[in-house]
Amino acid sequence: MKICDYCRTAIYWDDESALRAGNKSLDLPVSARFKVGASGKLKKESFRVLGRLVYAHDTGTWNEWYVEMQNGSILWLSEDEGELFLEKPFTLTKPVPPFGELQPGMEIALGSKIGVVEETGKARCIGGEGEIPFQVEIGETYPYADGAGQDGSFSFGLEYDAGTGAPRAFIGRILELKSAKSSPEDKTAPESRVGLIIRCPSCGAPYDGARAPTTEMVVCAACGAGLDLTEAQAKVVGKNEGPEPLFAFPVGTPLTFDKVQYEVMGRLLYDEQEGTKHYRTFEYVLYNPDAGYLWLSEERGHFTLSSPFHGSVAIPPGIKPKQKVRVGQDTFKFYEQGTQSLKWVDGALPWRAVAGESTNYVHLVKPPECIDREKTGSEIELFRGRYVGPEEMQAAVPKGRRIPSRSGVYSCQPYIPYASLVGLWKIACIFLILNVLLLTYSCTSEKKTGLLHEKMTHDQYSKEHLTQPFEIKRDGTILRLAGHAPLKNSWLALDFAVVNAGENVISEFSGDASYYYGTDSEGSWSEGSSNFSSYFKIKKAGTYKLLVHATGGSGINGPPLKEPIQIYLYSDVTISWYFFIPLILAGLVTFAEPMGRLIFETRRWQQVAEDDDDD
Amino acid sequence: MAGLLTKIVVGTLLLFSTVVAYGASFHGWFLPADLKKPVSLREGSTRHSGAGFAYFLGRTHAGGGYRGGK
Repeated sequence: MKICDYCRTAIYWDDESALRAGNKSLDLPVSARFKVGASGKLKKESFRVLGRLVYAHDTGTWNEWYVEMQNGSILWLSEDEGELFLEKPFTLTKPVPPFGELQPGMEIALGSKIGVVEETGKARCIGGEGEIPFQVEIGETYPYADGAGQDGSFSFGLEYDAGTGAPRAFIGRILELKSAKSSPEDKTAPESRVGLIIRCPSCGAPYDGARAPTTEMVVCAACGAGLDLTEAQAKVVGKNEGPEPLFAFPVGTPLTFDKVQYEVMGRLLYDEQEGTKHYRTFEYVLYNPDAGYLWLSEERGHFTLSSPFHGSVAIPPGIKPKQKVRVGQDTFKFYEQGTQSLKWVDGALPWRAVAGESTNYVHLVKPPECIDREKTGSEIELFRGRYVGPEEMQAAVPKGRRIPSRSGVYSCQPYIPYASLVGLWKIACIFLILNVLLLTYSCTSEKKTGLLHEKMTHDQYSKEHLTQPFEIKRDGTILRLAGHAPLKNSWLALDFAVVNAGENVISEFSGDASYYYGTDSEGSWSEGSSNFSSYFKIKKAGTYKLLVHATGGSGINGPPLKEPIQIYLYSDVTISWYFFIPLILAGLVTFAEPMGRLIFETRRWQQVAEDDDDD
Repeated sequence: MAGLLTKIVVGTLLLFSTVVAYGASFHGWFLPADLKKPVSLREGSTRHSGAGFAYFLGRTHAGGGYRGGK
């Protein structure tokens, strides 16, 4: 089959001559990448473009380029919404489900491989050019299904015969845009509708906004009518209602990401209603002729940058927030799912988007990455994105343009601790280590040299008892007085005085002991202790004695039980517990950063946790 | 600026608490102070017939007593 270059009529040939003339092809949009007759390279392998067919489906069109490779093989290079798929016929060894049974998301066996159906629909051939190695009727419609491998390692297409329903399969690979391009010298000046005037059928105003060769829809800036460009004449497919939403960037704004400058080609506003709440997402379709399309989303001042990918994202029924979902080699966490409706669309888009249409979505996160599985009509699309921080976003926009300020925590926003918090953490760690060392030294350096051990009776301590003398060898010695009394539901209040060699009291200190126990309806209980302990300090070396006096009692207001007491006096002691104060303080500061992270994570999941509770 | 100020404040607090802990632990900074003027055990105490030194007589500290139990 060949399409006449002059009148665009399809001419069918047999081995020797033209058999008949078919329908006329529509004027076809010019591709930014390929041209019939052009040559190029695919991964260092040369190819030549023989011809192409253009098919229309529910939401747009796609190109199928027939390319002859260096080795003479004929391959099919599909170009859909800026993505490229290089496929060849595949012999089915096992039956595939009939078209009527196919559903987006369904897994089907293609020989030894498992593919995931991404899109089903009916394709109509709207035209072609050049040479086609088989017969296709212009205007012919056939059912089809497209998809990819579970890990996105291959793409496939199924075409069902419109009459018999017999399937034909194609299998291939998904190409990076920069890996396939024909030579620039093979291109002629664009003769595309990019250069033609589009006039809005609704209001008659010309469309003079941004467009790309892959544009399939533009929105009339004058009346808001969405114009489908896939046919010969622009056709109104929808209309924006109400005032224009407050987008952060107008169509045509240049935005630079990863050193590539894109242009805002189209804008969309999605709205999701949950009860009385409305969640709005602004989406910008970015385009660069070499890099293709990117999707920039903004919600509450948070931006994510996404691009399509292929693979399998299986969401089990009844899934809850934070539940893990395996996507290829990565594990994401389920965040939320729902339905959002398109409220506004303008600019130029590589697919047909109509205000009012609904999209079911599933949102998975692995900060700073996210995955969105979107199902619109009979198509499932997967987008993998990353969070764009305010610094990167501000650097991406033209100078002088402000970006919206952020509010709250976004689902895939990475936790970035404040620099001051990190500094505090380091300071606290230094003091934590220092105080641990001091505490260790304090504990290990304590020798607890015994200076005195005395037992005394009630008669002695009630009348004030002077102990045996003890020797203090160093000035400023810290001493610990420990004691014990066999208390039984009784108490003791003890007073001590330090008496020097001249029998002068130089200092005083006190101690307490009480021990109560019993049983009640909840069992046995006890409180207090029969032991007492006090620290005191003697400034000057010398010989000293202790004057001990105690009073006691029993029960609530009972008389003293006259228990004997024992006292022990130690020198070379330290009061180590003081180091717990800076340790606790340093510990609290050390925890500030993890606490900040915890609070951040709580805020991240708060919204969906509340929604989940509401369900 | 606020971050630097926070670091200075927190750093000072931690340094201060470490120094205080060191002083309290090794030098007994918070232990009872000596009496302003030494008191003679025999002359300064109020004698009480047959009651030892009676230094603490009349000013035994208020501790002790039933704490209320469980």
